[in-house]
Amino acid sequence: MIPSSPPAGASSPPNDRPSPDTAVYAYTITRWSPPDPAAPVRVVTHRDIAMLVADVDPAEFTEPAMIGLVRRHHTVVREAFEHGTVLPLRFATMFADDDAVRRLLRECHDEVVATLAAIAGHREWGVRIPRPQTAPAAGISGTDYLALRRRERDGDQLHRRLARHTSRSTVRQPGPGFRLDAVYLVPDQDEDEFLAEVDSIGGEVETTGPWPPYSFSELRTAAR
Amino acid sequence: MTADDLVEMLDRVITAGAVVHGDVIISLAGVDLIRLDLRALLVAMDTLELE
Repeated sequence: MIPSSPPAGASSPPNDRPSPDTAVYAYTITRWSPPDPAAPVRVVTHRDIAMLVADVDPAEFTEPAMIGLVRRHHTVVREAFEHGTVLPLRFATMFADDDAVRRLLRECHDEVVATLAAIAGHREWGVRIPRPQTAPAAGISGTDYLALRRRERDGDQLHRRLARHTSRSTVRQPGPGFRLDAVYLVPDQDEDEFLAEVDSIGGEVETTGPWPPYSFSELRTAAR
Repeated sequence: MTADDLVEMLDRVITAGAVVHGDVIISLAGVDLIRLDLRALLVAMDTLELE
């Protein structure tokens, strides 16, 4: 998955980055400048926004090490999220050097500020409701069967109930096993009501969270 | 972190989060490869200690 030939930009590294074997791994964009992230994480800033980065060897990103790298990504994002709003970046986002990071922050500045403002004071929650077992041909009453079918159809309705307490939501690609599989961006002040609504569904409900807003982070100006 | 939480975390870190192009030197293709190998990663993960 590492390009065999050096990509454009990496062949002429700036002075402070003598080795083309080094990349700047980007974890998340933030609006504030955190005081001192734990090494090796460091901060690259542009005006009022910042990116948490670390110098890495792209060759590290091979199969055996991958899970550890994913864990590290999440740890850095989660810790930053404990201190402020974060706009997490996709795993394995790397730049040639700090100048490239600053160029991106400069190009996306306004959208970053707007997006961070929109997701500030929110946490992400995932809700999955398994689909009831298919009714057996025998051994179930007609009333039970109809109730079962009705429950299978009400995923949309459940989603609307939950979404009332959220700012944004995304219904994931519906798998065969779920009545509802969705992620919600919940304002802090509405979290209790949201979770109470989840509890009120009853039955088997899988809730995960709170998460940094991974599922609600996008940058249109940079994703070209 | 339970196994379910770990799967949820992997799912988010690998398939969600803002995608940026431009100067990114590891291509999206790399990430797509990672996604394809997610199942293998999850299998391998069974042998790892859950935190």
